[in-house]
Amino acid sequence: MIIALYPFVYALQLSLYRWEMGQAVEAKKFIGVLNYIKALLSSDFWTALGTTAVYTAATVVVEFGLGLAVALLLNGEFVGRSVVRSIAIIPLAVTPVVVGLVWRVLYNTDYGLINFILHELGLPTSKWIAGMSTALISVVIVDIWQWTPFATLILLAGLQTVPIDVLEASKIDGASGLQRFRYVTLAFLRTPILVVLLFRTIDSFKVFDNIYALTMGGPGSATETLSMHLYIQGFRNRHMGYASAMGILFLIVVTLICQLFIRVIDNQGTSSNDGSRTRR
Amino acid sequence: MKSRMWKLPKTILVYLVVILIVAACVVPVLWILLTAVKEQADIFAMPPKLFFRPTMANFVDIFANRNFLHYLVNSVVLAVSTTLLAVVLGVVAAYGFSRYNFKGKKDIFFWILSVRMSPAIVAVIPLFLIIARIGLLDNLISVTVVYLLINLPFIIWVVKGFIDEVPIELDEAARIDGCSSLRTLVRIIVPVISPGIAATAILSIIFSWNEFLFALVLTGINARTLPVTILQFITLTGINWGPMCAAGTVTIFPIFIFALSVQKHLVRGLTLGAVK
Repeated sequence: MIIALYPFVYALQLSLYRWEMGQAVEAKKFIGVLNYIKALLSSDFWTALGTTAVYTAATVVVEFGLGLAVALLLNGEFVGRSVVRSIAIIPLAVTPVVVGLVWRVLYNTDYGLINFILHELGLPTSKWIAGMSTALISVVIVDIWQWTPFATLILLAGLQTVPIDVLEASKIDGASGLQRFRYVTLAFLRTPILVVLLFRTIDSFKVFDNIYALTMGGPGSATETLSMHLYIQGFRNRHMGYASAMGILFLIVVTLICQLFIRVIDNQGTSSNDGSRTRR
Repeated sequence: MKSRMWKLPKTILVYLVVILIVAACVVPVLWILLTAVKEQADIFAMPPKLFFRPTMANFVDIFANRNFLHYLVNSVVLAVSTTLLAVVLGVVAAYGFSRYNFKGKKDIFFWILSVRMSPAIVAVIPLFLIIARIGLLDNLISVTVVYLLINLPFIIWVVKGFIDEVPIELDEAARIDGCSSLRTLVRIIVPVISPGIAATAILSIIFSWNEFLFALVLTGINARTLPVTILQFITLTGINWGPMCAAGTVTIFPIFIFALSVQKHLVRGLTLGAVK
């Protein structure tokens, strides 16, 4: 607990100082909340926050939807299911740095595989991560490729806890497939869904490795997410105090979003899950 | 009638989608595998070469010249020890959160999540300073502790969800039969929630296996892990694609095999009809 708390306290303390990295720790100067004011007035900070919000929303929505669909599919019976299940989590197993570098090659406009295939199929090619307007979506696609299996894995495990007798009972009671999914399956998946949404939101919001390996925040600042912005300010421009202040603001935003999720899903749960609970 | 008419097209559709999913997952990885066994000159040939004389030179290179085995062992030790510790501690903690009431439970439960919420870049500097002060830099023990901190919240959250779905009557029945809490947990709860534990174990091992930033900052030559090792293939003059992809291939396989081997636990355990 102390180890967990210390970095936070330290960052909080650091955020109140002006400290250039490389200077001795003693050379830092107390400037109060000036770092925070600077961040809140900086348009770069807001742009990065906006980029992060778009990135997070896009990745979480698609990864959750796609992950749920794949989990439902892999929950059914078909030949070679256990091998397919293992293959489906391969993207997770690839080291993030390698993921970034490999996709950078796949996206390359001169010798990349993606444009090559598109070209062979007679489809229009794209500039992908090199284009101002396509860079963000290209980075989002990589995130989706890499992290959808996370959602699949957790939701698939969650599907195993849906009691078959309840499903069958509702079938006998005349519930349609869609109704059974909505009222039985989803009710039992409540916590796995919350976990997927929470952890993907947190991790998407923090995204760093991918952006670092793929675009370094460019072109321009098209893919400069908060973590990247923080890194550039803190480690490249060496304003550690300023970066820490942004880190704290970052934490506040993430906390608010997570609280919101928990509230919404908890409320859903108390209304829809009571039936199955009391019946037991 | 209707359902039988639909059956065949539906099966075909399922397999088509499965093939699509497999292809989407595998193609970029296949690129890594192929690049690992290509000569440097062939890697960026246009059109891409699918048929070529495979070479093992890149694998020989990473194991013979780059001390790769040492880092591989580090990664294995780290991933296994963190996951074992995190799963055991996590399951016990989750059981506590699920079955017992104590003051401020909801807040503590949310608060443990905050460890994961702060951007790693912000957390890494203070952690570096503490660990340097204790004198455990470049030591697997300190890295294990840090990974434990990041994995635990996740495991507690997931596993608690699974325990919540287990009817409390099971606990009560075990209690009446004279089981202690710990025994109830190990004998009754754990077998029932094994799909959840398997999923979290896979994810925890993958996380420890692939974590990059903390490993980069906290380790030197001694305790270095695979992802950090891969960095050395990115040089000032460019990226050594062959060796890098060989290293990438070596890092993917253990996870794939682990995932295959815990596969059977991912399937429904004994939940059905546990309470009747």
